[in-house]
Amino acid sequence: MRGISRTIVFVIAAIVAMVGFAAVAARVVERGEEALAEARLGVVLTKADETIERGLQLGLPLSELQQVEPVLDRAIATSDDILAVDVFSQTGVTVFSTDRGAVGQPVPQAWTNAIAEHRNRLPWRASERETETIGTDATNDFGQTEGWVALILARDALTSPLSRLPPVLTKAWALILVGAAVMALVGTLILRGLRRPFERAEAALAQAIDGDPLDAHLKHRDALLASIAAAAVTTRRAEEAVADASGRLSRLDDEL
Amino acid sequence: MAASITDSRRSDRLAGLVGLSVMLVVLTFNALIALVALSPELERLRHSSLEATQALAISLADDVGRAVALGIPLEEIYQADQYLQNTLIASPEASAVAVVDGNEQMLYQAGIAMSEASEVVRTPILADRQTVGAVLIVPSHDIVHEAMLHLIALGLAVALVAGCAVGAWFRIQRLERVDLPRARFVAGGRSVARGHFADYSPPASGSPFRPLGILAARLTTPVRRAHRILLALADEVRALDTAGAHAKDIAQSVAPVAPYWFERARLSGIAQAGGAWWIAIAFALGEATRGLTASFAADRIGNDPFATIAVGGAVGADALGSVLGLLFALALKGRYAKAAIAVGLALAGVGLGITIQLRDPLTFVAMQMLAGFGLWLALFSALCQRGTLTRLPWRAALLLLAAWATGPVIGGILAEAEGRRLAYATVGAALLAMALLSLLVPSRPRLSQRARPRLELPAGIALFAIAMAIVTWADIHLAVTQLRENYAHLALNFALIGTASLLPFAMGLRLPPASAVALALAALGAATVVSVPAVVVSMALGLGLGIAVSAARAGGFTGTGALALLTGALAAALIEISSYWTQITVVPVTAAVLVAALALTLATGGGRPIADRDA
Repeated sequence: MRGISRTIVFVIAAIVAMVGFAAVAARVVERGEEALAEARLGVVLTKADETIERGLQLGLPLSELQQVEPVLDRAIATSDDILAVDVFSQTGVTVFSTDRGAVGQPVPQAWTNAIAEHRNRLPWRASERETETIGTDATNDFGQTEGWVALILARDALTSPLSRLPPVLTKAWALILVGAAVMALVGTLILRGLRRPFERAEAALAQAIDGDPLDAHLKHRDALLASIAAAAVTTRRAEEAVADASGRLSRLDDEL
Repeated sequence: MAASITDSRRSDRLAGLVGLSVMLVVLTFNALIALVALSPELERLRHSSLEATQALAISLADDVGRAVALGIPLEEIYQADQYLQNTLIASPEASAVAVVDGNEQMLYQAGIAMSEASEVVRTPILADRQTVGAVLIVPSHDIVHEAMLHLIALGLAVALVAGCAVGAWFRIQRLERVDLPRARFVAGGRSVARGHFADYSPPASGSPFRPLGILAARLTTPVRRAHRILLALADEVRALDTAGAHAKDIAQSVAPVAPYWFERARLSGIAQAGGAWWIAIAFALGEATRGLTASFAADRIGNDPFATIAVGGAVGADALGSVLGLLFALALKGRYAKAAIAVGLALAGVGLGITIQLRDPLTFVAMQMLAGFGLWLALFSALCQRGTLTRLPWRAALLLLAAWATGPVIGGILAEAEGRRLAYATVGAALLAMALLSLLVPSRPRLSQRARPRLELPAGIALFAIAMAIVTWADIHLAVTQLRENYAHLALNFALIGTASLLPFAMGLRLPPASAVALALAALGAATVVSVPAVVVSMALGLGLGIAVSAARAGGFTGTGALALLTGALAAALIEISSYWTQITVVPVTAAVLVAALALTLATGGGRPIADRDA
């Protein structure tokens, strides 16, 4: 029974390892896809950002950069994944957008949180229920952030964590089961021999109980067998001594 | 030559065989999973790589087309080569970019020669709806190749972790269930052979020694029963011999049994100690965020050089808080343990859980200190109260090492699945729940602390601190530099460090303590000088730490040992902080300390095998 439970531990460990490998491998692929999607969208974002920064370098305030709108319209046309492109000021108000109705509106809280979290000069990323947004800062000649450019994407444009795991597991589940079965077989083969030393010792003790002398085991290499043999020899001697003493006392008892 | 009474070498070989078998099976099936299930994913990735290259080509063709539309001849665009070179640098998905005119004449080029490319992405350059040339890009597929290398390393690492973990678990099982009971059984047999017929109770149900114990009882029961009858008979005869005339005869009669002893066995207190399991779970939870601390602190600052202070500050505050919590718990000596455990776990829960709302680095540092204080106060209060610390130091050391190893794996998986802030919140909530649950556990009497396992040599303390400093250094640099935001890989490397640190315990490696320093030194060199995969470095670091802890044996996780470990973590954090002013990276500083520690270890006898020193 104990052997079976240990085999189950081997099997569970193997299953956890294989599923774990599949999960982390899926994340590796997802990270690759994310990096490529970000590179693809980064080209669009950088181009829009550069145009805005060139305008800022001329000393114009962000809200007066009228050439921004056609740049944003060109950006949205580059990919079906881009739902809208926004430019918003430091105060969090949209200044330009491909969605004209959004102009003048405050940006979502998730964006300001993502901006607060992001590392300097690197794009930030915000997740909402139906959209993913990636953005970057638009800086002036003095390196000060004047506003932000944001690409609003469909939720599935960027790979979400562990989204590739189900298809990987769907293809791998049969292999995982076979792997578990092989592990069970290997475990059983290894563990099968573990009872042998106990069986030898139990047989020797049973012999000793039946009265067989175990003198041959006294110098056995196995300390367990040797100790059993030595114990059996002493037990016999002790039994004889007790029997001898009992005989003498019985005779004395009869005399008295 | 007689075998040892534990036959532990056989257990070592068996554990090795089990670990190797698990490793091979997992490795084989990981390879098959990669071939069957991951090949299509890699093909998708390759397709995405081509799409990214295509987007780049379209963008370049658009720029060049607008320049031509403005009247600049295609072959005379100012600094076009430099523009292509900059584009190539900023675009890892491309290994060459070129512009050709309408006659396929190469005008500008950056990167490898187009003739060497097996695959080229081509986009026409349109000016006023006329094709004037084309942009050619050779896709590098670097991200795909990198993903493939990661998958190979991952398959190996997961198999290694699985094999080592199962091997270590099996070895500990053998130690607890076979080797130690066997040693007790052999000792009992030898005791009987010397004439001591004590009342040996058979091992508990489920033990592989129970049938043997029952048989052994059957062997000795008749003589013990006969001896009891003999004693009764002797009393009866003495009662009849009212005048005492036969006293000498009675004594002579029972003389043959004089060389034998039939006393009752003493009850052992070992089984009453223990109870370290639940606190090990709490410890694992508290350690879960260890791999997230450095990167979270760095992200509060950004890429500023000041980030090293935030990172070192957060890691150091955790270590300092832990030292204070440990010292406070040791000062309490197990008194008020129930309150200390509940308060400690609650503080740790609040300190970690509140991170979900933190934006400012100073508050994060303070919360790390609070969490460290609470966790170690609770941990050592529980250990002092139960007596596990001194009565079962081996079990306590192994449990805590396993919890220390498992924690960051849990944290990495949580961060990968739900994000870093939610991972902090989840761990914090779990610790708060454990604080409440600890109040429901019935109070137990405080067990006296008699034995005091200690470190053997000053070199042992140095080894401890140095090994931990290196592991902390690896923690920081894995989390902040090598595997930033790659929590799954981070968890895997922490699993490797932790599992490798258990191996010297599990396999009974009798290596001289100096080898821990040498191994750590090699790992450090490999990580910084030669480009060795993180998996190999993590294994070497873990083994180094394991050897150092194992060399101190029972003292490994006692107060002094824990203090040494935390001091090592604190030292690594201070070196990280000081690098802001000194501009010296942690590498030469740690290497110098390592060499000094190696010299110290060798000078104080740490270079000899443990057995020699015991002798």
